[in-house]
Amino acid sequence: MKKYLLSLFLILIICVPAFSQVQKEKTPKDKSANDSTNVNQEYSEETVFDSENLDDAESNTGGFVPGLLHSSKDVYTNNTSYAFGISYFKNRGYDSKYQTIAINGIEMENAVSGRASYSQWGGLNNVFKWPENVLNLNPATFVFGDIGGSTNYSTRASSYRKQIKATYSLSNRSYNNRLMLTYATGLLKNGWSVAACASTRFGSALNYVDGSSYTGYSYFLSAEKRFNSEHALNLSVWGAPVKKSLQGNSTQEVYDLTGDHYYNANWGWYDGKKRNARIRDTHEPVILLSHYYTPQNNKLQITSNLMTSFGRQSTTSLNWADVPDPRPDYYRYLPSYFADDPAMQAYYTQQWLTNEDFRQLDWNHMYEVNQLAANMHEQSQYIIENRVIDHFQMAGSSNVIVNLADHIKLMGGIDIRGYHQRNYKTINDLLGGEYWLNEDKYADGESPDNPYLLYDDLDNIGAHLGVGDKFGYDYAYNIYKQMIWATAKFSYKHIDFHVGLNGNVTEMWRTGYMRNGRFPDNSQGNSEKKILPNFGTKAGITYKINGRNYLVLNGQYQTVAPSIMEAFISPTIRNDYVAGLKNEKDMSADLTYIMNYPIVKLRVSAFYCKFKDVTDQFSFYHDDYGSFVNYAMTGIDKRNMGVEMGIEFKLGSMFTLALAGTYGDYIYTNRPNVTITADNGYDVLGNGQSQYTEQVYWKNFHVAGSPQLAGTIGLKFNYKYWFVNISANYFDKIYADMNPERRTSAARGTLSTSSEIYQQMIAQERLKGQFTMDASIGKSWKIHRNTIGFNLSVTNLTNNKNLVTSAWEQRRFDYNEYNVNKFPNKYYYALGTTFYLGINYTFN
Amino acid sequence: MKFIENIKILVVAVLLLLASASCNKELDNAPFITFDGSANMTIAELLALHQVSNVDSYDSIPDGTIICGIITSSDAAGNCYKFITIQDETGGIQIKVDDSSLFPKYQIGQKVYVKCGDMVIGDYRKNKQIGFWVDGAMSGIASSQEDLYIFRDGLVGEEPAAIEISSANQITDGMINCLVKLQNCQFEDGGQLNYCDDGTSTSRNIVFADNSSIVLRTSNYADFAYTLLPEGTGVIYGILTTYNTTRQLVIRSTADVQLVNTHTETIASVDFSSNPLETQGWTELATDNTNWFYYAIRSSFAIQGGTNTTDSWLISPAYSNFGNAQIILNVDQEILQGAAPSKYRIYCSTTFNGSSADESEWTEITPGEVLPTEMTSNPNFRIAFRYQDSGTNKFWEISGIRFNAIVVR
Repeated sequence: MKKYLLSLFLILIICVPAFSQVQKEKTPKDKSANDSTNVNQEYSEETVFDSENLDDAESNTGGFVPGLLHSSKDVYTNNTSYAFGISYFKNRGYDSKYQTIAINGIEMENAVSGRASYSQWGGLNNVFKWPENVLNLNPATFVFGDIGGSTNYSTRASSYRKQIKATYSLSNRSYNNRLMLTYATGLLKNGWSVAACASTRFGSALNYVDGSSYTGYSYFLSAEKRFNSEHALNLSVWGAPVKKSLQGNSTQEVYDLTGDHYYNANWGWYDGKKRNARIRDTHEPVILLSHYYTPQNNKLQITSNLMTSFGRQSTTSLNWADVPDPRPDYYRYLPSYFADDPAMQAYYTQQWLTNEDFRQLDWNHMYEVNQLAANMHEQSQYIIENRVIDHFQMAGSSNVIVNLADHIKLMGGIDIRGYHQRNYKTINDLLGGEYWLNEDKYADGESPDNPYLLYDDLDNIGAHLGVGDKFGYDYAYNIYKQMIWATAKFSYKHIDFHVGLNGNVTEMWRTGYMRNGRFPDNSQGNSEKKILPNFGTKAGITYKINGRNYLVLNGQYQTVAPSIMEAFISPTIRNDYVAGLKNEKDMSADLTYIMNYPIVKLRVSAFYCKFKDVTDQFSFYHDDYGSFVNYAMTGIDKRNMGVEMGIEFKLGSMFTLALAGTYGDYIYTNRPNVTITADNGYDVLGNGQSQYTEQVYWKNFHVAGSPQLAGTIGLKFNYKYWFVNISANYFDKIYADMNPERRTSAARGTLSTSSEIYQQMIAQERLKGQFTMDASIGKSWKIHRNTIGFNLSVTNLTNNKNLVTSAWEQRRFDYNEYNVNKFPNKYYYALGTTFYLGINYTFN
Repeated sequence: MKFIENIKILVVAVLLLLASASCNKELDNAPFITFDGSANMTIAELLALHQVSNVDSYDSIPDGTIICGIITSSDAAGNCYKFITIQDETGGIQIKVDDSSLFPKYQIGQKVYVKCGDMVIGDYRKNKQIGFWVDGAMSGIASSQEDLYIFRDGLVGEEPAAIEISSANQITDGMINCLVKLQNCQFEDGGQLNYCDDGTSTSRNIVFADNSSIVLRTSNYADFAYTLLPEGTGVIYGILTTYNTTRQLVIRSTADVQLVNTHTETIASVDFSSNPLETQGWTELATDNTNWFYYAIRSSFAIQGGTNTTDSWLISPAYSNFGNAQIILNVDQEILQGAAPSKYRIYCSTTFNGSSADESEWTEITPGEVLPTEMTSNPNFRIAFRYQDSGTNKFWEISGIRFNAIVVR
């Protein structure tokens, strides 16, 4: 009877949201979609194996059923995190900004983007490992926790076991070689502990993507002093200077012409070498001082942090003046542009197929043009600009864990931080030319009444700029944030539950350092300051049926300040906020059933999340307008719901069969507004307005950014320090990210819904589902007290080159002819077969 | 095993969720655009603001003027270049737009409002237009400013009813820039010349049945400029324009030209070289002795002599293979001179049962004219020759019949 009641309850809970036509959800698009996600991509090179035996799970005393440990033991996460990585899978479709990443209990998110930047500790895998993971809506001890879960790394020197470890890795992914040295003293008798790690990553000869390269160094030093049994102080410093060249993205026509899904338009031959125009240089070190207070009575634990991070990320890019677009895959250089002229079409096709100088950047031509201009003392026609982001952050936090009673545990903390990020462009290379003018030539003539429109920097009109000079834009984001939170956990015989509350205040404003001709009165100085109070609350209950069966219901409601990046209409040049800026509201719930038997482990969850009043902002260079065009969206509602399941069967003592997968449905549930502006004041719609707001009709269309259907089946072998792992994976329900403009009344005009043009215009592309296979093998040996080990993982064994990881509609629309194929979708493809071989030697 | 039962429950729950999540929800549609306002002047009133003279000129339009009309032009085929023609119940006007490829946005049948208060009404060689007066001539709305002046309203509908014209003499000034339908007309050079001579916009003549004519004006940039003018007679749609005093028709595409050029082919014939009553399934029915007889010497069938009152039928077998073709019956016959036509009647039927003419429905037909297709397409289609007379001097001889189908060349 109990079982049937249980099943009824389960079905009801799962189905109610499914049948109700409520609103919600969309994952804001990946901001790096225009950059090289493939080249950026790194896989965790070590697979974790867990041979934990839960045979005695029920052998506890007094009928008290032990609670669940929410950790990396999760049977769904364990089997999917690596296997799904190739598809850019996002857990439950949530953007990474909905995950809280902490180190020593202090949040590491970038206050501007809301996302933690893993690249800050890239290459330091040996010291940033074994984090404490709290899945989804479960309560964490170190932070309040966002709806996508929380992760805490420890850099406490005494937490590293005494060792000297050398690791060499060989790969054909982002880089080819990695060397890493790790040293830890363990806790010394004098109370000191020291841990250090240094690594380098380099080499591109084996890379998939032509013209890509990667050179990275990483360092890490942590020192801890235990003053007595109650107090310890730890200082950690780390950083990872990385220089890499980026991959471009193209349309299917280009991929078909080149026969290469990894075609990269960013490079061209120069001086006998492949020179890439898009180089990203990042170095953003972190200094973290942590104090640990653990009084003798064991009832209390306080961790306090003082953290600063600073540094620079810069990305180069081509810019040009009064000359044709130098990028080889510009749409006017493609055969499809000449659909009406078969002779030209044949010529361009021939050039694409046979002429490498044609299908890659022509650096020599750019130098020639610039040198001719220099001879006449005219400005460079082509330059490389550097888009710089400098940041400085100070943060302090203090977290407490109190064991109030045997059954009650209280966690709480405060966090105060200030973040300053300055964004500007400099001239990186004049490419043989003499100087550059700080003018927007496209703005010229748009308004004869206002001759200053032309100038990005009114206080330097006519200046001849050289390498290193700022131009274009120069502004800063300023953010202060204070947060306080508390969570209480209660544990009883068959029931565990928790409640939590979080309050925070964000203050933000923009500071302009350049007076722009378009907005001379509100581009420089401080914008209005916005103060945005927010709160969050969470609760959950675990019904411990017995030591092997658990039922968990969790929920969370939170309001979130919009990211400052999304708060301004045109942040590069104006102090104006988006109209109708609101705090986002997220409501999330999940119901989980967990089963733990010696031969079978199962987790199945149904999840539901409503996102309301999400804000989004994206800018891109529109070559017809010759300007950056900004789309500011407000009031976006999305809904992510679905099921996920992981199950493992023990087959004897050596084999485990694992199945895991998720089926989700992530859709937009309302009609948000989009405000479109062009930085140079161009009349965007031809209706006499340089800024206009439209409603976007995309209710029930899919949110892009992750496969919504993914599954894996794997077989694991584990015996005497050998492991072999093979899995087959499937990905589907992959959608192209939409151009909101195509779903507006302005775009529809008076087309009938049944007209072919209209249907083409609003159709959201669904990419074909794809299979991949992965395998890995590893072994370690003890040699005296030392250990030597290797692991080899091969991803995408069948060399499937058709898995689209990102697809999006270009943000431009042909209002004249309604031809959606004029600006077709762009794609990134997952790499074919890749491998990662790691060899390590540890002196203990 | 307990967990097996649990799995069963979960599988059911999961399947239910999947089923509900995967139902396709209806995708959103943006509303079509409408114009928030109304017209305050008719096109006729607008036209009246400007009087043409011997040179191109213009007049201003009162501030705030809004007109409304249905689009009749299209540059899809390239013949209407850089203008849109609209008309309401009172007249038509050309709007000059400095843009090409206007057709996806401004389709035939689209209702538009035009805010023309800032514009002028002028003429180009006496053809009235609205636009701007620049350097002594009419100039179009800049492509980037179309949406400031022209506002589409609602879904594309039907184009306005065309004014029917059967003679050039019927054309009036009020029809200029309106959609017209020239009836029963043909090209003077049909089958001989292209729409355009090489490299130049060209005028060709359209001739009506009364020999009056009108010019067809075609741009050499039209897609169909170098295709042959069709032969035949029929209707031609187009927008009536004027060039000084010359009325010109401008077609939107060759779909506007609907001429029929046909010939006939015999698809069935009977020559009575043998007795049809015996060999070809003909039926003879008569009310007295004066019957149809086979006139073997003349290879014909005839009715002759007698003084009785006569009602004699000669009924063909069924012709079941005419399909939907248009069929004309030709009859080789000889009739007594001066006889009343009411005596010699030809019918067709689809209901003859093979024995009784009275029980069938008969439709009278005239040789040389197209037979009703709904009858000729029936597999029981028959014709009948019926002689009715109460006097003497009967004579009607049929020596052959032919069914000719009309075939379009």
